Order: sequence, then C-alpha cells, then structure tokens
Amino acid sequence: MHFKVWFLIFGFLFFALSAASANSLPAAEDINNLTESAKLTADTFMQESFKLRMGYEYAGQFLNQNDKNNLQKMAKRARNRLAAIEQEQRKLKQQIEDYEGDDWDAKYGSTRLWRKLSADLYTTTLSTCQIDFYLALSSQQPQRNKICKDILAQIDSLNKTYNAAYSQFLKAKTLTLLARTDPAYKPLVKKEFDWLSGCSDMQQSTAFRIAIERIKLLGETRPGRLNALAEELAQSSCADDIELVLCLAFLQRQYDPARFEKTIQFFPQTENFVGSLVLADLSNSVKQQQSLQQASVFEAELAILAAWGDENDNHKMLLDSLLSIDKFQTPLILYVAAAAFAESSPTKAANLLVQASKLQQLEKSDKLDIEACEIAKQAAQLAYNLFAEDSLHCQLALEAFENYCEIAGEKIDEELEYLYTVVLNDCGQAARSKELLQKIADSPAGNWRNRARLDLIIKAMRQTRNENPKQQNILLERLGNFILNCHGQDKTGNSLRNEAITIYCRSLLELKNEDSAQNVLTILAEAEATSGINLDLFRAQALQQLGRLDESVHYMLLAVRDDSGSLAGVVVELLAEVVDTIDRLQLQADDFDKMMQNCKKLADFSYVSLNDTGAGLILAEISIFEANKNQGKLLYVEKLLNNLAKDGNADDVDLLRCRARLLAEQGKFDEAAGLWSQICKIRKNDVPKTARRSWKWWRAKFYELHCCAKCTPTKKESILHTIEVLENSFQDIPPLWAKKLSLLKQQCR
Amino acid sequence: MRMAPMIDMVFLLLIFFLVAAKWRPQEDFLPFQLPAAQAQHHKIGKPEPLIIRIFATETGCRVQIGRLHTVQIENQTIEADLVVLMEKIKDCLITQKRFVSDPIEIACEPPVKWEHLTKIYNLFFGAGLTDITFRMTE
Repeated sequence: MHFKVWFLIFGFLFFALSAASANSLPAAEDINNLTESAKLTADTFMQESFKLRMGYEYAGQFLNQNDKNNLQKMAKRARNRLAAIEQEQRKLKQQIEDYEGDDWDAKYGSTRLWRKLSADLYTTTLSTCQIDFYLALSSQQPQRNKICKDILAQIDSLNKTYNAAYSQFLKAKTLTLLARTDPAYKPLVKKEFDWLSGCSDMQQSTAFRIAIERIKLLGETRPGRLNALAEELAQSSCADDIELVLCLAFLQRQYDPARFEKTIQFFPQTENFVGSLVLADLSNSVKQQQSLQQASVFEAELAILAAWGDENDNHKMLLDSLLSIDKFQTPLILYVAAAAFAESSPTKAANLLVQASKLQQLEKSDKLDIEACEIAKQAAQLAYNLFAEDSLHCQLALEAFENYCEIAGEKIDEELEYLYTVVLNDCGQAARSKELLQKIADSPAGNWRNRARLDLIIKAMRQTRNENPKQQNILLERLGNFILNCHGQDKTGNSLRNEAITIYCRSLLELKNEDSAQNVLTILAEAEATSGINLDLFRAQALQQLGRLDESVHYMLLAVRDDSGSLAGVVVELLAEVVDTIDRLQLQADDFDKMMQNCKKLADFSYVSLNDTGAGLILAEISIFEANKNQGKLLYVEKLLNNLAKDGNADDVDLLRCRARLLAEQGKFDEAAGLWSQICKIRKNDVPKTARRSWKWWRAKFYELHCCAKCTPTKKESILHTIEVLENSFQDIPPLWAKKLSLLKQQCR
Repeated sequence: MRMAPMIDMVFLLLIFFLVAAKWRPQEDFLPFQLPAAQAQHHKIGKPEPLIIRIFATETGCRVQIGRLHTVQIENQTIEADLVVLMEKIKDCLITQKRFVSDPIEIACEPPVKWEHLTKIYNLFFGAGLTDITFRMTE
C-alpha cells in the first residue's frame, strides 16, 4: 500500500517537472526582451554620462572629483545591469543548446533565433567592455589596471568567435589607458593602431574614432592631418554625431586653438554644450584660485553665454576674475557681467554697461546682438535710477548720459534726453540743463516738448520767487496759457496739466488777494478736464479768499469726499473762518441752514481726522447752529463740550464761547450772560494800549446784553442804559454789532 | 521683691497723663462754607466803567477822563484844578449818558502821589460817584 502511494507521488512530481521544463524553453520574445534591455541600458549610460565623458575629453581629465565619482557610479550601475542581462542571455543560449527535441530546427534553427542570441550576447559583452572602460577611467589604481586587464581578456575571448574593428579599437583604447602608467604597453598600443589603420571593413564613425585616438596617442603623423580629418568629418554622414565632432574639436584645441574655434563655429549646435563645459572648467579654476590667463577669449565668451541669466554666485566670481584680465573685457563679457551685477551691485553694473557700449561702438561683437546705442541707453537708465535714489551717484549718472548722448547722436531717446536735463540740473549744471530743456521745448514735435516747457516756467518761477513780483506775475500768466494750451486726455497730457494747475493754483492762492483767487476760479473753469487732481479743493480755497464762504464750504465738502484725513487741516482753517464770521453769515447767507449742515459734515470729518480740542470746539459750535434748537442735538453738543473741557483748559475762551452759545440755545440765559461777560473780560485787552475794543469783544458784549435782556423783564431798563452808554462812549463800534445793539435797544424799550 | 511701690508709681503717672491730656475735636468737626465770589455777577449787563487814568507829572498829575478830557492838576493850584476836574467829569457823564451810580475805574500809575489820588477819590465820592474800583496791576 505504502509503496503504491510513494510511487504515485514521485510519478506526479516527475510529470510536473517535465511539464515545467517543456514550458520554460526560450521563446523569441524572451530573446528580444533581453536584447532591448541590453541596448537600452547601454544607450542610457552613454546619454547620461555624455557631459561627464565630454568633460574628460575637453580637459584631458575630469573637471572635478564629483564628475569622476558620478561617472563611476553610473558605470557600475550600468555594467551590473548588463552583466545580469548577459547572464540571462547565456542561460537562454545554454537551454537552447541543451534542448534535444525534434522541433529544434523549427524553433531555433530556421528562425535564426540561436544565431541572433549568440550575436546579442557578443554585443552585450562588448557593451559591458565599453562601460568597463569608463569604469576603469574613473577608478583609482590598482583597481583601474585590474579592470583594464579584465576588459582585454574579455575582448580576446570575444575575438575568438568574431574579430570586429570596434572591439579592436576598444582594446587599443584600453591598452592606451594601461600605457599611461606602464610604458611597456606602448608598443602594443602602436601595434594595435597600425593594425586598425590597415582595416577597411568598419563603420565610418569607428574609422574617425580610431583616427582621433591615434592622433591623441601618437600626435599628428603628418602636418594638417587633424584639419583634414575635420573637413572629412564635416562632409561625411557622421557630421551629425556630436560626440565625434566634440572629440575632434577638443583635440584641435590642443594642437590648433584657432581651428578649434572654427570647428565650433562650423557646428553651431555644439556651442551651448561646449560653453557649459568651459564654464564648469573655468569656475573650477576660479574656485582653486588658478589663473584664467590660459583660457582664450573665445572660450571665455562661450562660457559667459552659457552662464547668462544664471544668478549663481560662482558665476559672479568667475565674471569678476575675467573682468580683472584686460583681454577678457569684451562687450559680451562686460554686458553679461552688468546683467549679473544689476541687482547686487547696480553701480558696478552701470559702469560695466558704459564700458560695454563704448567697446561695442568701436567694434561690434558677433556674439552680442545688441547695438551699442541700446547698451548705452540701458546704462543711462540704470544710472538714472541710482541717481534718483541717491544724489551721490551724480558723477556716474553724468558719465552714463554723456556716453549715451555721444553714441546715440540724433537718435537719442526723448525721455532720456529729458532725464538728462534733470541730472544736469541736480548735479549743479543748471545752465546746460536749461539749454537742453530749451532745445527740447523748441522742437517742432515730441512727447516731451510740453514737459520741457513746463519745467522752464517752473525753474524761472523758482528763481524769481520773493524777488521780482512783476516777473512772477508774467510767469504765472505764461503758466496759465500753458494750462489752457495743454490738451489731451492721454496720460502725459493729463499729468502735465495736473502738475501745472497744481503749481498755478498754489502760487496764486499763496498771494492771498482777491484778483489771484479770481484767476484760480477762471483757470479751473476754462482748463480741459483733468483727472487725478482735487480741483474742488482749489475752488474752495479760492472762494474762501474771496469771502464766499457758503460756496467754499460746498466745494470743500466735494473735495474731502475721497480724502482720508490729509485735508483736515485745510478744512479746520475754513471752518475757523466760518465760526468767526458766523454771526454775519447768519444774516447774509442765502441758505444758512443748508450751509450749517455742510459745515457740520466738514467739522465731523476734521474732528474724526485730527481728534484734537480745536477741531472738537469747531464741531461743537457749528453743531449748535446746525441743531436749530433741537434739544437732542444740543445734548450731544453738551456731552462733547464736557469731554473737551476734561481734555483741555476749562477757561479757554473758545470753550467758554461754545458753552455760552449752548446755554443760550438751551434757554439758560442767566448762565450764558455770565459766560459772555467772562469772555468780555478776557477780550478787553485784545487791542493793547488803546481804548478800542476788538470785534470779538463787541460780539461777546452784544451776546451778554442779549442774554441779560432775555433773563427777566426787570433788567430791560438797565440793558437799555448800558447800550446807550456804550453807543455814546465808543465811536468805532463795528457796523454789525452797532446794528444789532440798536435792534436790541429797540426791543428793550 | 516688693511690687506695691512700683504699682503705686504707675497708677500715679497714668492719672497724671489722663488729667493733663487735651481732647481736641476733629478738624472737620465744624463744617463751614466760604461765600461764593459774587463780584463778577453783579456787573453782568452793567455799563462799561468810565476809565479815569492818572499820570504823574513833575508838578502834580494829569487826569484823563475816558477818551474825552484831560485835566492837569498842579500842586500849587490843586483846589482850583479839582474843581475843573469835577466839571469835566460832569460833562463826560452827560455826554456818555452815564448815571452817578455807574462804575468808575481808576487806573493809576505807580509814581502818582498818594495825596493826589486820595483827593481825587474823595472828590468823586463826595460827588456821589460811589462805584469806584481800582485797576489792579500785576
């Protein structure tokens, strides 16, 4: 029984293994997959390591230790992957060869799969050798020699089955690497290259590579060989092989730098890449504090083009080092350096631009496609910005503008020409500035003509200010005409008119006379609509000077609509005048209630903005008139006054007046009369050393008597007598108060 | 130890201090109120005072009545000059329609002699001008 069970188990296992073995026979797909993987691995390595390998070709050594380490890592990774693929391929090959089925030929013979797999294995091994070569190149001794010897053994093994030119070339390269440390290999290398020279059955690219490596090892065997090779390459189908072109160009760099430049120029697609290599090499030299004297101007310019736009500090160091050597002071290098230093050191950048523009003017660089005039313009703009920030840059700005004017000639930019006048004026060359401004102003057309005209008027006004009023009037008239003739709703026209109107109005309002104020109103009515300026403010101020306070208040209210508090001072000034003349206005204003409502809004605005006692008292006094005996509103004023009294001096005459007015409005005439009497006492000596009384004293006296008259009827006779005494004691009673006293007297009779 | 004499002494001292002590009342025990300043109140609505300015001269003084008259008072002819002064005052009161009860304010310069001032004051008071005040100087 037991035996039967065991027999069945073993039988089953045997069947299963046989089936598995039959199923794992290599198929075309398996072989092709491995081929693709091997190709992809090798190609990826060559692409990824391109810059590192070319860097080695360029300098004859690795540009830095990092490059070396990176290449080593890449090579190790790729060769391990290839070794695994090779192992798989060998395994498949072995399986195919071990297969003894009748259908072998149908599976692997007539399909040529076995042959393909053998060829793939050869290619994979050769690729591994190629990558191993770079592994050796990036390894230290004695590891390097060991890898090289392994490569040689591998190639010899390959050559037993098929001796290809490329494998021999690889062998020659490996021997060359060995010969670097062991001269015994040199004859072998020569022998290999001689053999390769005799071969004709090879790819054209391999032939070029062999020729390049031969020159590297043995030098030019006949003069001009290298240049002839370059010409052949250019005309061949390998002209697109960048790696080949670069290897040749870098070899030329050693023997004939001029030809190197020509080759690079002939293959312009290589310029950027070579530039990046040179940049890395030069940056490395700067880091190690080595001289850059050995580098050519061509190489330096290639490197600078590669560095352009890259704000790397290492590049700035490189630029600094290049600029310290005369031969590298070319327009391109100077311009790129200026661009690099524009933010960190704008002064230096401006100087560099000036220098670059001068050199570009002398001889235009073929690598810098910017006209000298444009560079000079940029220098002037940068210098002006610096000058605008700090006038210490005066000299720099003058130099930059002079240089620009010289280079640009008649083609000078209008705006910069105008800015030059600003620089000249601020740098103490007012006469030249004026001359240039006059030239711009006299030009038949141009956007800056009006600007120059306005500047000339402003300058003249400043010169004659406080000295020659007649001349000042003529200039104001010219400014007025300028405003009327300055048309256009565009930004420039509007801005100029805005500035001119502001200066004109301010100058006239400063004169504080009625004619000037009237002129302000006239110009504001006649000038073209101008935005960005508070015309209502000027109207309000002019009307205030003309004594038309009700209209002034109306326009001031419009002026403060969008103001955040900057006009609070001007508003307080106007309201103070309103408060001083409120008794006259009460009689004369067309619509006193409406005016008081407007004044209340202005007073609210100024109190909120300034939050001081003065503005508070104005608000309180105007609120009393605006309240129109409304007890609720008067209560608010009372609270406001109480708060103001806490903050300030309770005996302040303005505070007393406000309280007196409030008490009178509340019907508390007794207390009001007392306060007015107190004000009279304070105001008694407003006009010192004379027996005359001030306008404000008369106001206080009138209200004192007015309140007394309302206290009790019994006082009326006394009031009448007091008014008579006043009328007969003073000859100079202000008409308003004389009239009011007279009316009061009639009421008391 | 005998304690009785010491206790006698302590009691004697205690009684002495109790008898000799003055029991003062609290400072605010008797509240009082100062009279409010009423002088200003009386003048509300009253006519402006007639200003009499007195300036010293080498031989007497000069009296200026408002802005209307000036009277020179000499030491030699003081009585006659006071009569003239009284005439001018009367004229001024009539011109300005003042009553004798209306206020008069005398502004006197420091070098004016006391004798002159008292005579002028007495003259005014005698004429019924009783509301006379002096301008205070700092």
